[in-house]
Amino acid sequence: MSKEYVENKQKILHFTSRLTGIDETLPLFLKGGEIAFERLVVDTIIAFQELVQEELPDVVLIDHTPQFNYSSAALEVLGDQRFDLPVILLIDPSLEEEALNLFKQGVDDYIFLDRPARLPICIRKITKKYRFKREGEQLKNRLVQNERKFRSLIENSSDGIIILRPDGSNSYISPSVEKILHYTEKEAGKINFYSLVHPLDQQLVEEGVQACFEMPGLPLFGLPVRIKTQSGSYCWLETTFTNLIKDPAVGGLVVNFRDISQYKKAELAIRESEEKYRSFFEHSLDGILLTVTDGQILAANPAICRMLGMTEDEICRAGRFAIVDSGDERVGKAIKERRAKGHVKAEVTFIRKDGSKFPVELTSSVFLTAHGEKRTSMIVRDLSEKKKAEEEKEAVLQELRDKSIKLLTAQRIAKLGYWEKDLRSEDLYWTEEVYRIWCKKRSEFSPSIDEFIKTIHPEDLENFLSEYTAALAGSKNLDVQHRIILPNGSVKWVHERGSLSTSLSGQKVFKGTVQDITESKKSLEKLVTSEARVRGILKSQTSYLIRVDMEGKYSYCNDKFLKDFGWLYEGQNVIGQDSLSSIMDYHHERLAKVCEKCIAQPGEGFQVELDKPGRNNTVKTTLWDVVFLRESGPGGEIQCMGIDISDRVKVERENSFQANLLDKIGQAVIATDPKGKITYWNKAAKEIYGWQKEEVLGKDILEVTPSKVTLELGKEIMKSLKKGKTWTGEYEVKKKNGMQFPASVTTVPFYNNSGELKGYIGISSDITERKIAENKLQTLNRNLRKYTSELVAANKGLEQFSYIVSHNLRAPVANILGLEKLINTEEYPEQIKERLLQETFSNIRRLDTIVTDLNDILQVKIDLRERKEMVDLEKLIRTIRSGIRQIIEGEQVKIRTNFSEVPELRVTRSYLHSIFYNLLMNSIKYRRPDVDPVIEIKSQRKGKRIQLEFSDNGLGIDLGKRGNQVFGLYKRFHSHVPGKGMGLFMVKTQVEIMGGKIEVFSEVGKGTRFLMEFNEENQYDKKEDDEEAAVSVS
Amino acid sequence: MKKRQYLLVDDDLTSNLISELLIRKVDPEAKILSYNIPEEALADVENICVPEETACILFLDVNMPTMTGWDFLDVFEEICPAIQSLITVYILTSSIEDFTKEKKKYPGVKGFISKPLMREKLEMIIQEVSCENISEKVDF
Repeated sequence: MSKEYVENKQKILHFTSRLTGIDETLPLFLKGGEIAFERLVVDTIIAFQELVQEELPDVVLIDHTPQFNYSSAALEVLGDQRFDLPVILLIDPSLEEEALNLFKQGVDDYIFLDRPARLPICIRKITKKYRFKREGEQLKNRLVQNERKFRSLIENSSDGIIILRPDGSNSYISPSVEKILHYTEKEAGKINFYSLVHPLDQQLVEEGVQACFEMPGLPLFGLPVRIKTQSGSYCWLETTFTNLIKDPAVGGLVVNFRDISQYKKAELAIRESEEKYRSFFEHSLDGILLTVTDGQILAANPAICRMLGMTEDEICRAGRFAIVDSGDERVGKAIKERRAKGHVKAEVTFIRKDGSKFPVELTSSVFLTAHGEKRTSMIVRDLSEKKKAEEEKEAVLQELRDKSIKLLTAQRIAKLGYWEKDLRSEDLYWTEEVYRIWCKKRSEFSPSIDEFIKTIHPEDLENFLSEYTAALAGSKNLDVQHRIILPNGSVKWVHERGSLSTSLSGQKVFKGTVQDITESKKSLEKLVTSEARVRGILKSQTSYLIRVDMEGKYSYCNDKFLKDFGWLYEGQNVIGQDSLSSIMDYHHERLAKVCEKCIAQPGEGFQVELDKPGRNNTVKTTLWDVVFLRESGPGGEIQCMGIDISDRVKVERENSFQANLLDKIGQAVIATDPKGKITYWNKAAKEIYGWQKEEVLGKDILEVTPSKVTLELGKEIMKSLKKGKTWTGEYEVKKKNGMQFPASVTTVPFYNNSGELKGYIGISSDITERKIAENKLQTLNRNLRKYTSELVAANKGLEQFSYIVSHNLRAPVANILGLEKLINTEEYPEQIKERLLQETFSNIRRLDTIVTDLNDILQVKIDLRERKEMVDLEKLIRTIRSGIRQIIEGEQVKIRTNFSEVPELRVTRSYLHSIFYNLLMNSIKYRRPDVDPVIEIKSQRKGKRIQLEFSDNGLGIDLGKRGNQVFGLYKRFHSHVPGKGMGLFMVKTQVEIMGGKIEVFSEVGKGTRFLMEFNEENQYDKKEDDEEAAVSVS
Repeated sequence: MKKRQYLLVDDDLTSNLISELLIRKVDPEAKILSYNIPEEALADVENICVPEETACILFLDVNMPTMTGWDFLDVFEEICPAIQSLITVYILTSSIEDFTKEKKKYPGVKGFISKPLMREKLEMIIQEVSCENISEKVDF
């Protein structure tokens, strides 16, 4: 049985003097002892040193005789070279004591030169000892690796793990705690988990812990809890509590919390561990089989392959039943025992490929791989191995198991399942956790890709398949979250991660992990639906959050509140301070009322607007959601979530101020949206258009204000407004009652800050009054022009007046003055004196006449306003003729009239009478002595004007030089007959006052012709009313 | 002393009478020709004989019906320039108008006298006319 075990030739290095003769006899003894060997013989210490290094012998033999005493030196060489080799001394029996001393230097054994037959036994014993020693070292390495694996899982895991003793103190704090919460290692050791929980979440944590105590070993997943970090801020963590107080490996409450984004790192760490684990498997010297409890062999290491003379593939295909002697009744027993205890140690018989049987010691235990798979391992060992070594191995394995349990715990907490897909078939391997997640029983469900796909939620299937295909193709790792439908129809969220990898045997395997993330998804949803928490998350930066106890004192406030109002309290210490002192006095009562309501209805939210003091004597207007939490704090707390609405209030106030302003102005202000729908209608608009604001809001402006006449214009205005043009003008609009009136309108488009058209604003005012006034003004202007011309005429009259004063009035005065001087200072005869006196009187009369004339002229001016009337021209002439009949008859005057074309004229009767009288008298006065006077008078129409023509056959006037003076006052052209030179002056004055004009045409010796022209208005009644109106307005 | 001859042209008979009476009192030796129609005066002027050592003074009214004093001067200057230097022209008018414009137009006019003609003024004119070398115009 041991023959097979001593597999290789022993390489023996013999350091000998060659004098003992042992070098020649030794091979015989070794062969006799059935030791296969290769002997190297050296006789100098230098050669020994060289060969030790070059050949790496299995055993070193050293002769030790009084003649050849180099053992000590040889042992030094070995010690220097750090070779731990079995050393046997071949000694002279007389030197036994020396040899025993050399044991200290590393000698393992000695034989006496005279008894070489013992050498084989000695060699065998010693090499085995060294073998076990090496194996023990390898196992220790394994243990160290496993320990490292566990550490790496815990330490690489993003999950923070704190194990709390039942009394609340920490028994373990994982390094991740440091990472997540940013405490230094030193600080982390001292932290008190419960004190880090956010006050709002403490109740939740307390409830969770309580539940855990009631259900030991059952993890309470996914509690969203805020934990204070080193910086003092809180972060949201998904926390899992597991009561493992009774678990000796843990002995406490495991608080496991994670930052979800860190999943990936932990998964990678686990995968690395798996690789290490596999590496160990491949290189172990023991035969190791990785099997499933049902007998399937998943893997076989090279050592067992050598033992069985089979390849790994062959072993796996063959399965457990092919390599274990089923005839050995100990096999069934061992399986039963393993099933019951989780591990077994038994001696069974194995069968080689060639059918030969051999006994092995089998150590099998159910353990978990780094992936969390429930596997069995079989360590196959030759029974010839010493018990001690077996025990050592067992101890190591036990430690491994313990570590595995810790791994299991960690994995269970992480709810991490492992799966593996064989690329050659559709089969899937699932760990228990995967089954648990899928709510399927291993016995009832054999996973395959087809079956797996059936469980995927239809909505997520397409995405999963595309990710899966990509991962299978090796283009990327699988990392997908999807829903699955459980047998009972409920839905779970899982997170799958996987990758294609090649095993050391060159086999491609698609494997990965799956994690149930339903709870975290759900809790996330819960978070979303919980309004208070949503506010806590979303508004934590911009909103105030405070809690006030039943005494009105702050029990909590967030950073934002502290930032804005902390300054109100000494040293920014808000907690415990009176909450009313941060509220303006005038709102205390308001707050009290709200609080009263709140407390009456716990859990019900109330809103209140409060003014709070801002910095620099400003006031901040804040809006609060107030809710009474009965369960919070002693006797309940009032929680207030607030925002600063100062800006909003300011804008509102401005708006209201502007609106107020717009209501105060007298012009209608109307705003519309870009489609013309009315959005604003001020008070004046109501008064001007008669529509109430409520009646027109939302209506099309074109349906409300334009009159029928201006509707088209209105549409065009809207079009030009759309192009951004302003329209200003007068516009006919209508009131609600249909009444139309003119309005002055200015319409402008208006835009918001980003230049987007927001609508139009029209400002209009009723200009009816203005229009009337304008009409009046126009009339007035017209009249003014007329009066101006009259004034010019009057001015001319004034000039004449001044002329009268300077010439004509002064002439008699000067005469009288001269006469007076003569009378009083000179001596004259009576006759002359009489003459002077007569002259004086004559001049006084003359003076009187001039004064009378002036009166007449002034009278004409005063009569300016004398009413015009229709005057029958024929009748007028007849009247004048009868008045001067004696003269006419005496002078044989013939008067011919023709008024057929224009028989009547609208004039001032007395003026026209005077005009014709003067002209007639002039014609008679300046008649040609040899010809009977013939006077012709006729009326005729000349376009829009009426002409009166008066002509005689008298002396005529020499108009050459003084034609412009014909109508001057006191201008006379003849001196042969007396005259004042006033007649034609009066004629002209009167014609002009009536709005007409007069011209004279004459030829000396032939006669004179006067042409008078009047406006048509003198015939018709038309303009009279206008003037009347104008006068009344003015 | 030279002999003086006066021409009076004025449509106002009273004014002529006053002037004539005054001249007779102040200058009894003088010859006086009085016209109340200017055209007649012009007609006579051509035939007026102004003897040696005789000063001829014309008192001319401005405001007359058929012809103003200015018209008279225009015609006068035109028809008998030869005599012009022999006659000293004074405008005698009742008007209190400003004749600045006419003074410039008719530099031959020796002076402007406001009616009625007074003794003091007449004496001044006589003195003025008598002193041949006096070229200074007299303004009133």
